[in-house]
Amino acid sequence: MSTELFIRICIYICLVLTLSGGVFALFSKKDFIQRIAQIIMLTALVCGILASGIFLVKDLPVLSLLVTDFSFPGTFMMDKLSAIFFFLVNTVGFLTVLYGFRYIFNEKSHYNISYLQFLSALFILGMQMVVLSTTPLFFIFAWEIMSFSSFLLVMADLKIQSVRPALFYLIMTHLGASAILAGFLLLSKGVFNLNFNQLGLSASGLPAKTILTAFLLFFFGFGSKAGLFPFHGWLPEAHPQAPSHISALMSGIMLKVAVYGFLRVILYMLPILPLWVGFLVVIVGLFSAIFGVFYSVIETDIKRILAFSSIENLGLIFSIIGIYLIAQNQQMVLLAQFSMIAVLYQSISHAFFKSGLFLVAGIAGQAFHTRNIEKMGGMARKMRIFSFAALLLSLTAAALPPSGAFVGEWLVIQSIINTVFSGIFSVKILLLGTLISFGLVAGIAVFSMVRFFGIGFLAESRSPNAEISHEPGVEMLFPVAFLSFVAFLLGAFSKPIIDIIGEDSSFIPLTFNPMILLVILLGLFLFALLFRRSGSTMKNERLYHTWDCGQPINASMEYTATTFSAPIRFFFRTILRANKKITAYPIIDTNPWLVKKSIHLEINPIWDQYFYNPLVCSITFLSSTVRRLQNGNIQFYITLILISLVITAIVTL
Amino acid sequence: MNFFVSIYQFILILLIAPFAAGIVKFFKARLQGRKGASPILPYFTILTLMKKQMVISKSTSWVFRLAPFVVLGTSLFMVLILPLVSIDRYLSAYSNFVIIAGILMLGTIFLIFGGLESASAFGGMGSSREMTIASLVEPTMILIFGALALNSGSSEISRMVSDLNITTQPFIIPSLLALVLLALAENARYPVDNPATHLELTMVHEAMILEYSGPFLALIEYASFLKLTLFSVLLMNLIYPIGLLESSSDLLSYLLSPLFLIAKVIVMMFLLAFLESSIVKMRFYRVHEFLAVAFFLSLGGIFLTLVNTIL
Repeated sequence: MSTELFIRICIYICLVLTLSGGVFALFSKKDFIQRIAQIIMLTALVCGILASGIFLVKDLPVLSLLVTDFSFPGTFMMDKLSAIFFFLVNTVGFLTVLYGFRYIFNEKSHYNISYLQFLSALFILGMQMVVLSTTPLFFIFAWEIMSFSSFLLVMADLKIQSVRPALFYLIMTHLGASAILAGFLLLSKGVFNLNFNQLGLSASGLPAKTILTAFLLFFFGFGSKAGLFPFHGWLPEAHPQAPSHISALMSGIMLKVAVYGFLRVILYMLPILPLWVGFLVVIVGLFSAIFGVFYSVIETDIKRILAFSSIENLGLIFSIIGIYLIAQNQQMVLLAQFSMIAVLYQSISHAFFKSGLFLVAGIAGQAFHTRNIEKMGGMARKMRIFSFAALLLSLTAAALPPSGAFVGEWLVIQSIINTVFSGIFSVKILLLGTLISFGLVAGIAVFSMVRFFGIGFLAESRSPNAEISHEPGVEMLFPVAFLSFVAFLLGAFSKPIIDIIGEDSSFIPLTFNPMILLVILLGLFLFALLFRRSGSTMKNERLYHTWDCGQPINASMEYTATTFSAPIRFFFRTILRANKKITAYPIIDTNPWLVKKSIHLEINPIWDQYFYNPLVCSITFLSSTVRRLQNGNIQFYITLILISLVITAIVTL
Repeated sequence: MNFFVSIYQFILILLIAPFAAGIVKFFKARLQGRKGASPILPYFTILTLMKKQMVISKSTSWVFRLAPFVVLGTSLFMVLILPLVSIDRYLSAYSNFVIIAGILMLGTIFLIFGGLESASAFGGMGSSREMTIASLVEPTMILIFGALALNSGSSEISRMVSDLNITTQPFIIPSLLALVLLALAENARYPVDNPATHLELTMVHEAMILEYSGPFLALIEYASFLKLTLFSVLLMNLIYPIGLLESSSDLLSYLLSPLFLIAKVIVMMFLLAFLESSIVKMRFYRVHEFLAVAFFLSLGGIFLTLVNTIL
């Protein structure tokens, strides 16, 4: 059997089994049936991993699947770009399904398990099909499956708190989908059943204005799905509401699917775009990154922290895509190569670490019965493996060496430094601005992740009845641990990975070997350990409580997440608009000194104040003005019809 | 041969680091009219601490025990990699400034984790402050070394030290000044932090390590000595690279290089002590102004470089 045939069969099995696993889950709510459904899905996803993994390692040419001669074009195809993303969808999908083995059974009281499984299967299927499809029609179809099933998943607990974010999400995602559809139709001049290659040919003959309009539509469509500023409002609302393994899929993979769509469009369909387009993408991306990272520092809901951090990561990824566009326009070949590798590398690394972090948040949420980080802490002492995995994930998310995300950032910074002076003046200024923003975002991102791990896992637990006395079940622990190791070691193994994802295998932009970096670091930690041993035995210690100035201290006196980020709130108060109110209630009316204080902290995001609220107000105003037309008077309606007929006649003649 | 030069530098810096910390205290005492302790006292401090029994808080977990090793390990990494005694070495590709910035951050955040582990408000406060400073320093660091990299044509700090010359390329001066400010912030010196007190209102670094004792404290203290030494020697080398070993150096320069190193440390530490005796510490909530000055200096540096390339 040839390799290509094997890959084909694997992909078919993967798609069919994913769907049938979902349908199977609908049969009955019995645990037994649900287990079988999960096993079917796991099999499906393993096939997907195999197919795309073999495809990537063997570096095969484009592989068409499901060639039909019918008028309804349903062709799938796998090339390198789709293989990378197909691999991500299946790997992370596999781990989340595995995680679901215990997670959803723990959450039985909140969710209807069989619908949850069915919808997750559809969601994964939608994403698998998006990255494989080659025609706009099928792309949109798969995109809608993905969006609609994830919309239902956001409100899977059927609580009133999740219905509102879900509807917000539905509206945003459909605005985006319609923009994408409009973009495709513009490129194909209204013809429906072209495939992407034909679309690219058709686009090359179009006037510049049409191309630009199409690009802006695509940018809005994919950008709003990826949570770019200012269309990100839905993301921190919707992602946290879904069950954690679904949040992991949404943040880790669905956002990557948006990146995939954008890459597919700019790489394969649109001709070289004008310079300002690149500038637009870079600036929008950097804005998203900066806003996302600041809000992830001051947020106190762990899943919202992660959601804002996703906005930041996606902002960075899009700004690198913007740099790619600029480089392409300016024919800066080296920068283009560097930045495309960085985009793919960052996407892969983000897919792993962010889904891992959401799975961590799920376990923490089940242990504390809350998502509020102020109630957490103390997990590191008893849940050692789990907290170690969370530490690795946090270090990766903070882009510290030698993790995967670090190598991605290194690629960008290095390529900017290497090429900044070969561009024209405006490009120089933009690249320098990007450099500064990258530094700022990197610094604050570390803050956010240190806060996540430091407050969430270390010291004493802030909830007295938290269930943190033992490790989580192995079904939940394994995916988290696996993702953490992969995300962290992605850095050390970056040379072979770049070799696989890069277009030109002779071009490996790393000037150092991250593997050796890791080895040196580990060696030096060992050296420090030996140094410690040389002085006295390791056991020479005694346990005692923390130094307390003679007055007993307890967990309520620990530093909280809110105070931890207080300096950032203060230094950036002009952007963050945090409103802190401290109210003092006297315990005894006559004594003004003995008081009980309570703090109320409210954050008014400026985009709410200056963007969303005016938008909502103007739309409401517009619709209430238009409503006056509908006054119930039949003669008035007839007059309106007449007027519109006259106007139509004037316009057309 | 190159490998031995690395080891040579490693050993020299490890040996001299406590002296650097001692001599700055000594100079400071003299400048303030006190007699001061002997400059070699830190050697005895470290050795004594290494033998002591540790008291470990019950609130802590494995992260608390891991932190000292990571903190010392990252400092050792920089001692091994940076061009302090010699340039053109075995591992110079790893002296890329992005890596160095990341490694520096890695050490800092483990110290922060250690501070948070104590479960007291003290440690948390120190951690929060340290984290703020470390994260706000990041863009400035990128800009400073970005400017130096653009001037020297390489992102490796080894190449920067060997290729940059302050007399022929005077437009790197703002960047170097910014680096001085940044080194003060990174090493918890005046005006950002006061290394000599244990008052809760003034301290950042000391608040985090309050719960550490015995050998762990020794490791952390040693790491901060190393950091102080390497920052000052690196600054000196960037300003005036003298007495550095190269691959072609003869035996005499090997023998002379410790003397150069001691001279550099004494000069830098005197300047530091002088600075610390003549300015006051800043209120923490004004530190961002200090960092803003560093940021704009580094921005100035990069713009001068830009102007230079256009002209």
